[in-house]
Amino acid sequence: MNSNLSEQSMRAPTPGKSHFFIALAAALLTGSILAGCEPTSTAKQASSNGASESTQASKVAPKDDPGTTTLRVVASQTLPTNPQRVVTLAPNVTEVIFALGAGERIVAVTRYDDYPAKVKKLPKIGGIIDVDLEAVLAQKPDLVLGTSAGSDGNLVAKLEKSKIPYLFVQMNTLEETYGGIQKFGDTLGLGEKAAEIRADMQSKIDAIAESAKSADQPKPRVMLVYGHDPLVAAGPGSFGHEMLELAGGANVLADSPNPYPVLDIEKILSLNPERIIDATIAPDGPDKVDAPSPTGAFWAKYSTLSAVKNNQVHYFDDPVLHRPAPRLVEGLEIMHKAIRGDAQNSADALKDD
Amino acid sequence: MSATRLLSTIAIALVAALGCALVGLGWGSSDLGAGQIIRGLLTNSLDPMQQTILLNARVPRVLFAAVVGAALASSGAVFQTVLRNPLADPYILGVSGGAALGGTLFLTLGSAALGGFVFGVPAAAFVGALGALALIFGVERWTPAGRTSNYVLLLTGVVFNAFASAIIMFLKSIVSAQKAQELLFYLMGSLAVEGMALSTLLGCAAAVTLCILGLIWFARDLNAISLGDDDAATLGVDVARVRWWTVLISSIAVAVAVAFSGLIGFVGLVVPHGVRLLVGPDHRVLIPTCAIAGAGFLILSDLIARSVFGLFSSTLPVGVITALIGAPLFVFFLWRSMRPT
Repeated sequence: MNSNLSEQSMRAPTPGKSHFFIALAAALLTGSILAGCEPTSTAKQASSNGASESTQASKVAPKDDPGTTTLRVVASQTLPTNPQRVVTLAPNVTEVIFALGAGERIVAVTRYDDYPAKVKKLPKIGGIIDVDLEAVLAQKPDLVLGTSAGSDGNLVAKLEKSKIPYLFVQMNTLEETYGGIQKFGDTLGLGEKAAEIRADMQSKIDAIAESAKSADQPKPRVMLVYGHDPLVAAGPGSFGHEMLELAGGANVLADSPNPYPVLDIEKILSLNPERIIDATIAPDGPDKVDAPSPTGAFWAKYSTLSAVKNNQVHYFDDPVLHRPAPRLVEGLEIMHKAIRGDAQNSADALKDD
Repeated sequence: MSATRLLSTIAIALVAALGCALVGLGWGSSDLGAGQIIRGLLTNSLDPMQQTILLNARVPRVLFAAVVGAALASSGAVFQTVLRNPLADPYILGVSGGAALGGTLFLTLGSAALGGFVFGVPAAAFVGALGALALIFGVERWTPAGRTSNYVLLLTGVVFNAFASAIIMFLKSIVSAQKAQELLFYLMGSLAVEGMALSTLLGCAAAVTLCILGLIWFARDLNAISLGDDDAATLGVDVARVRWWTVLISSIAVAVAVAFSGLIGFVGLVVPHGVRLLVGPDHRVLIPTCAIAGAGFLILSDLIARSVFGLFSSTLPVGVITALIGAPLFVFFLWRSMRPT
């Protein structure tokens, strides 16, 4: 229960469109099946629709961040100056707070939080979408932190009513991730530490991007796969796409109109990626990395795929690949190695190269 | 019904279904079109990737759609006769829901303990389907006979589906989101064959074929039962025994289909009604024709699901399509059956 794809990071790498259709069809079918068909309709609304966001109890207009982009922030009118009891509503927010050195201030997390390991023992306030307000209140937090994907109108209204200060920052892109870290840092009185983390991330990422750019090989055509059943991959507009391109790959789905398209195997065969980065989290969670990878058997059937033929399917059962937080640098390193062909687990592949 | 008429009907249906299969093979989410395939096969010039698309992506998917469609449609026809209810369909009666519940329970709770995934899920689905049927038969037995008793059965099915969904949703909320996502797709019924071994697919096909042959074997008895239990008994048909066997066999077919494809609704409703309009109520023709037509129907629905929605760069679970087609037709049949005759 520790890991997961659809709800773990705030921009929920889930097939948006298909969720919509599933919800539609479910309503047609029994109306009762898919009460939990959550994330994207609200998430989409919150993240992509500025208008709806400002009508939500957003007391703070989108603010200019010191960076280049405008951060989408939804926050209560008054934020505490030195919050000590913080509830986080997304695993990546938890990671950010720990990176800031304020981990001991977190009193409750979602059921998807798994890093650092000790957060698993903290009280749970539900999922990212199905936040249990009562569980939040029971922790007597002086601040609730989340990402905009979690800030559905109801939750904000409820927190408002309960007079709990809250701060939601959209962190869908790398730039927004930097901005979010800074914003959380400022709010916790750790602005300097945040700037430090940010500068450190930036320099490491720039180094990776630089080396990816300077490599003289042509960019390999890469596909980043998030799940097998259904087959979901990263399209433009997704965080994964951004990472993939930074790491020196060319996304085979660069033309997709959908950030998280649901594909069938035929589509993948016809796109014929040269490298596949398979970030499917094993059903039992990422802890069991030693278990035989389900990926090998899955891809072995499609031996005409360049990636399979050349032993360039890279399996990374780790949420760092889809969690915008300081550890994304590790994710980027993993991707860079996979894309540039010197990943540890593709030692065999190197012989082919 | 003469033997020639029987054979010609089935021949026509087969040709139509093969046509559907060819259409299903000819299009998909990639650019590889029917013209290219035919030209490529004739001149033997398909490149390896195109061959893989055809053999590893489209052929298994079309075959699987055919198997599931045949199972659902022929079971639907039999349920309609045996329960004497024109609205009976494995999905609406709750048989599919029961199978899905069994399969899901096994997927979430049992697989860790038992490990035997391939046979465990269908077995659990079968138990779930039988459980739902037992409930339906129980309700049927204890409901006072009358004009409304038909609808009691349907309501029981609907309520049971809701109940099964509730438990499935509960399970969804305690598993990882990765698994929850899989369950979500499972609930909508998808014919995605990625990751399914060819032997599993052929096993399903064999099981469903046997079931359909079994149902055809009871076709004469089913004809008698459609006249009414008393008339059938006068004709020397052991009504209880025939009901038991045909329902059991249909449930096996449904359980096999649902175990691997998830909940695909309305195929067992739409296809038998359509076929009955064309070939009449004789089960010797009805059952095989339903099986063939169901195969064709689901192949086409799946083609829509996997190719048309390429506009959104997404594929849909086929259950979405069958529900979109089937739900309005269900309302029509309901309206027709309520009309005073």
